[in-house]
Amino acid sequence: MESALAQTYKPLEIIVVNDGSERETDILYRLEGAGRIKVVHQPNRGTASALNAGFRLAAGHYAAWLSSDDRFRPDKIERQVRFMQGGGWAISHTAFRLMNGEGIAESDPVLLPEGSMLQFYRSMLLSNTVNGCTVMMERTLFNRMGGFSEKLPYTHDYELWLRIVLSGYPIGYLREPLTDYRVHSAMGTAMHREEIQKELHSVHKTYIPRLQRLIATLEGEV
Amino acid sequence: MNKQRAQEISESPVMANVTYQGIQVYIQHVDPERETARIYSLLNKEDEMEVSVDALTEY
Repeated sequence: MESALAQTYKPLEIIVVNDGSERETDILYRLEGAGRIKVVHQPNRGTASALNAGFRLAAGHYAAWLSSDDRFRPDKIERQVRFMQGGGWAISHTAFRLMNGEGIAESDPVLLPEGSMLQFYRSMLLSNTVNGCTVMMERTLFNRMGGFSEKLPYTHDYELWLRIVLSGYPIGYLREPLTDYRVHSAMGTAMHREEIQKELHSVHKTYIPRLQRLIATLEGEV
Repeated sequence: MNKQRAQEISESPVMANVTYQGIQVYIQHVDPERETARIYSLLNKEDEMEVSVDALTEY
């Protein structure tokens, strides 16, 4: 949240969705009282529901989001807004850096291979190559798409990107690391892996044939 | 996948097409002695794992 408050872009509306956590609520109330953030409290309903709740309250033209353990670079919003306005994008994502438990980011960013939008679509056939915590999109696009599916705990973002691409909105890529992203070790082995596979299978079944048709059509035009 | 290739991929910042049990993963680090790799997936940030490099597939 500090990294959101420290953004160089102003004016910025900051919405915190507290998805059932009891931690650090004092700070939330203090910042809310000072008018610096808006807070929505909800019982733990998962990431998709929390993101949808945040969007319902948002008023800006563009919206971006991050998890409580991730961090925006100070100029993230400013640069991504400029990128989106310059390219006329309705949605975009960026490179990112992995961060360890102490908040130290790796020096090398994680980058998508350089290539065409067509190559990016091909990468989306297999899995999610868009890190949700790097995404910025027009609020109207989010609403038009009906937001994230709350039935999909692991693939809600992948599923939304697929719907967006299939609706004719290419996802712009700013190849600069503007988010530090923290991954956590699985406490057991292969935690949730079967559930993820099941969900992924169902998303693929619905969208992959359509994405393949779109790719084939675009290939025909090259 | 062999450990040399896994190491090459982990040292390059560019995301490669690697899967583990059918799920696309990114290789963060390779331990050449133990022949294991730290991997994560964008589908679940709480699923960073250490797995044998043999279990990784490049497509």
